[in-house]
Amino acid sequence: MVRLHFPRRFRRNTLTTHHDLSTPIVPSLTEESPIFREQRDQEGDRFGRELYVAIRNQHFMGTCSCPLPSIYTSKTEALLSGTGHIRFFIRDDDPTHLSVIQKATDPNWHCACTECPYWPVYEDLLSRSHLNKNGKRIAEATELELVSQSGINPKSVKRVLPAAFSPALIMDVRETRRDAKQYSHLQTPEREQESPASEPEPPEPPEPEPASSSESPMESSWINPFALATQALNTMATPFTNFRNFISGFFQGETQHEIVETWKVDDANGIVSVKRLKRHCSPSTDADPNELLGFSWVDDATSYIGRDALEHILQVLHHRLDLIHRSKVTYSDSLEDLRRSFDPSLGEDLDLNIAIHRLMTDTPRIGPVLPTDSAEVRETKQRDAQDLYFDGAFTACELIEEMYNEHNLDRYKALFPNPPRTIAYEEYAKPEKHERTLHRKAKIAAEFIAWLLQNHMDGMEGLKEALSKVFVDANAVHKHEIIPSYIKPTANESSPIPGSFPTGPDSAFEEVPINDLNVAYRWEYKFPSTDQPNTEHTPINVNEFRPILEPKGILKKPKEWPTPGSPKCVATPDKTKRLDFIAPVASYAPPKEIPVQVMSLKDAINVQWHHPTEASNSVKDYENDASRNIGQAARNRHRFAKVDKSRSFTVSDPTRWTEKEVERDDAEMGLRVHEAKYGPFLSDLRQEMLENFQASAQEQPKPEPDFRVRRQILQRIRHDRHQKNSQGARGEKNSILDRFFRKADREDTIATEGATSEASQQEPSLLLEQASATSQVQQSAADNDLAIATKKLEDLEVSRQLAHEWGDGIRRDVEERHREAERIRKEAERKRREEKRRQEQESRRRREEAEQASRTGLRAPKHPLIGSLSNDWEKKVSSVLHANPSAELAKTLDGQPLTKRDFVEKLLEPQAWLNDNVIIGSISHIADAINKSAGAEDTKPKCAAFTSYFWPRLENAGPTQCGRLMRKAHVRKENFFDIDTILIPICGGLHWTLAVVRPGKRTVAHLDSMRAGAGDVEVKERLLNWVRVTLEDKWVASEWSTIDYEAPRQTNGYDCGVFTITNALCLALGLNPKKSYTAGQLTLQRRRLAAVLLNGGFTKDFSLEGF
Amino acid sequence: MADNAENGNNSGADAAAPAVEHLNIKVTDNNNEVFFKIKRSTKLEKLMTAFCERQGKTLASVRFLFEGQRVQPTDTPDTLEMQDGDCLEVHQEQVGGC
Repeated sequence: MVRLHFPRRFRRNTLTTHHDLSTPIVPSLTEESPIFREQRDQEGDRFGRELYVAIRNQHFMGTCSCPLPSIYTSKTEALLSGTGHIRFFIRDDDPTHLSVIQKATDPNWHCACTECPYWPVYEDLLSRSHLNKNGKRIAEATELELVSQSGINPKSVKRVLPAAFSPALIMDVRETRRDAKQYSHLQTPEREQESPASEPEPPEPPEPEPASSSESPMESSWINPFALATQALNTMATPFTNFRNFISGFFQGETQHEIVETWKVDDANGIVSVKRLKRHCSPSTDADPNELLGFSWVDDATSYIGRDALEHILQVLHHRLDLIHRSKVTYSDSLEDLRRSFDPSLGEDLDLNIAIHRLMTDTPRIGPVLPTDSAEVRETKQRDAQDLYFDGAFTACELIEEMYNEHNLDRYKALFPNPPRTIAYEEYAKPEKHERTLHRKAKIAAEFIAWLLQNHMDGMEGLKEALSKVFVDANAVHKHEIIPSYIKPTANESSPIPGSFPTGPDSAFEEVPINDLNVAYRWEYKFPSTDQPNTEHTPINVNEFRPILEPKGILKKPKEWPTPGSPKCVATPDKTKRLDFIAPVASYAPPKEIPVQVMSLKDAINVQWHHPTEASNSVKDYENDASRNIGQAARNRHRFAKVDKSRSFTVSDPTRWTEKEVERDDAEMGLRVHEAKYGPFLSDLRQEMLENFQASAQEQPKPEPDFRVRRQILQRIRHDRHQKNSQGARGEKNSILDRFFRKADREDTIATEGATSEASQQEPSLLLEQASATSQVQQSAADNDLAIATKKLEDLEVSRQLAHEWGDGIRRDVEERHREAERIRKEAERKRREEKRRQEQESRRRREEAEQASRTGLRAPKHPLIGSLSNDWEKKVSSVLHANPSAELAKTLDGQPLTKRDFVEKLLEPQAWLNDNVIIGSISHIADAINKSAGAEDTKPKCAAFTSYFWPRLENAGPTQCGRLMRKAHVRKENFFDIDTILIPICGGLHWTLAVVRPGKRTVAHLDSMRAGAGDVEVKERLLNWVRVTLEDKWVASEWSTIDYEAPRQTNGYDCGVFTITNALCLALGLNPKKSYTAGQLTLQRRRLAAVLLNGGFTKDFSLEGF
Repeated sequence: MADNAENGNNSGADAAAPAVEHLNIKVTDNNNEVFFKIKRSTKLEKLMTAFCERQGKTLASVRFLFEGQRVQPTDTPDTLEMQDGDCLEVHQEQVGGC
């Protein structure tokens, strides 16, 4: 069977719980536990469905790969043929009526994996994917649909927990595909469009499925892959369009929403809402990216807002300007004073007075009049506020006149046949020198209008809608975008713009309350602040004085306001406006740990509970994890839920939620209410289930025997047999006591009987008495009506058979002794044979050694090769440690200076790796010493040493290119056969080895300390080739052979250089390396080599004579 | 034969251009090739330190080889019988332990 491995990347823990699914324990428990019953009674009819939704949410929010609990078609089916601790079934054949029963005797939880870590991103997607176009969930209907789509079909019942394997997997997968398709239908716009706010209606019953795919039980080993596939299909089907919208909006530009389209006042609650076009929904042609498709110029710029409204606004503003101009304004320190002292006869406007006062308190750089302010400061502040108001109102008037001027509109029309996305207004409306640019004007006017809109309508309450439109137009001017008043959609707005997303939640338009509108500059969209918003919101009284550090503007931070030396006391506005972003992608937090190993279901089945406490601990771990994960998720949500500050994230008691909270939760598919409501319940239920079954598992019969009971049973049996035997069948061969003994032997766990059986072998006479006594007692106790004569006969019979037994016992004993003697004899024989074999091996080894010696021409040294150093030399070697790093401590024969680095770092440290200087220096000293002792001339050496650079040259350039090196080593064709030993150190891959050619013996060898002297075939081949090339016509292929020497084996990772040198020394001397030194001596050998190098060769104390 | 061939080359070159005072010597490790112009009698130490400085290596950790022979700092092109265009190979210090 092919095992599928799915990486469960988003799991936090590899394994927290063990499941004993193998042994079905059926304790006698009631069908429903009190916890369950209580909850069910409390919830009433909705219980089944809500619980199902809660479980489903748990599954979705976690990455649980198990399928959802099965839903059975009837209670009978659920009870009789269902599996799982909690079983759902359809009541009254109505798919919307879901009931649940608890089968308390079933130890299988509905979910096999128990790992449901919270996955915030998925939850986010999930909650978004189920919003309708009002941003609300049609809670009931959707839930019912979800429930009904997840497998409620009279003919398809899914089993969650292990059942027998069946080849119906394909059917299941097909079914899943159908499910996914069905689910995707739910997401189509038509469906969403249907009833935005209508009452929930029961979904149409699912189509009956063909009978071929019915009754396909799921098979255990395929659960994980199958469930993963299901989940993947569902995930792909549902939030796909939503996800695409979101992603495209996120990556396409500054923001999703740009252009404000229409305006609407909701009569019911008076909220002004704005219908705006999502930016990514307005396609552009390839030819002109600036072209705004689907819109055309309007005829009259004022037609949109209304000429009357504009006139009215201008009129009011002009009146205000006039009043200010004529100084018909009264100032006071507080609003109460203003209202109290207002005198209509002066021709002033109370609204204006209040507005200017509020502007003063609202503007950070002015601030309210403080009691400590002098009269001068007070006057300045009031004048500043008045100027500010005048400036704003004046600019707004200017802008309105400019924007809704027919002349201007005509000019743009002439410039652009089709409305463009962006217009640089300044280029076409050049301001006078003293005038502000349109850009600047728009900003000031928008600021002013926004202030009016959001704080104090200043007597223009009826004009809110018009002012809002002007505000948005001004915003567009400021951002160099097309003024929304200038354009109208060409097509009917309900029909989608080509290339755009369909209507409904994916519509090109969306409605937002005017209060949610934000004005911001592009750079602010691009680089949203990463600061955490101040989430705690305390109500602020308008005139409350509280220190604030930073001014909060609605448009942008003021640039060059003079910063106060210390926090200023100002009144904060009664509404805080802030710029915010929702960036869910940024909220994606990758899991901290990716599990290395995941337990498969098969393993999980095989795992047994080791101990009950372990099980409960595991469950506790799981619960802790779950709660931590949920807390984590709640924290994560903080990050992108900035707009709504009243949002509370703690999972509090749902019954005490405010209306808003309930509404929000409703929009999130009831994720939190279910978590809060059913999470603890489910874990309680599960805990209870586990405890019950552990408890019942403990009550199962244990291996510890109950002596009392078993002894009674045993006696009973014995008694029965005894009777049977005594009453009839005298000729039966098996005696009672034979059985008695055998039984006693077998039941040796029973202490008393065991003792009896031991006694029976030792003291037969005593046993006889005991046995007869026992039988008498039993006899009298159990069988009163037997005649005494019969009993005596029986006793006789018993004693006769006992004697017989005794004889048998003696016979057995004798046989046993015979066997023992036989065994000892065999043992001795075996030892003898082994001894003989060992001797043979020994002799063979000696013979082989002798052969080897004759073949290699190597012998054992006469005295140990590596002896300890004298005190003087120890001191000299130690003094190297304190030498000057740049000093030349010794010189090799090549003239290579050796420094402290070579000695200390590359030789003396016990685990140092030897470098080429040390190797070449030592080996050339060896060759030199051999030659000197043999009295050979320099040009006709007995032992020739190459440097370690020879081998790479031979490998890379070939044997013909080594002339210079061979000349330096004095190896020529002419004297080749006069040389005894040619030593070639090889450094290959951080490993030192030695190649040896012995022309006298016509052998080549390669000594690798890691292979205990044996060498590499390739190296030897190359050596032979080199010899062949060197010898030219003197080469006789048949004479030459490769050979392996024996040498101590290197078992560490640093001594190979020392091995190489020592092997070279042995071979140069004609010694067998294996008999000359051991691997343990090499630390000493390092010091000896250092001493030799310091000494300048194997002379004096290190003479090689005598080996 | 190797010896003969090299000897032949050397003698031929010596005969052909004995008067060349300056040599162009290529120094190469596996990655870089650096050409040095150097007098015949100049110690190669100069060249070696220059190369090492250029490559950011220490002199103790590299080995300059001329036709496989270790070049000592005191060597000169003359002592090594180098010719115009000859190549010095730069190898890493050979170290081994396991």
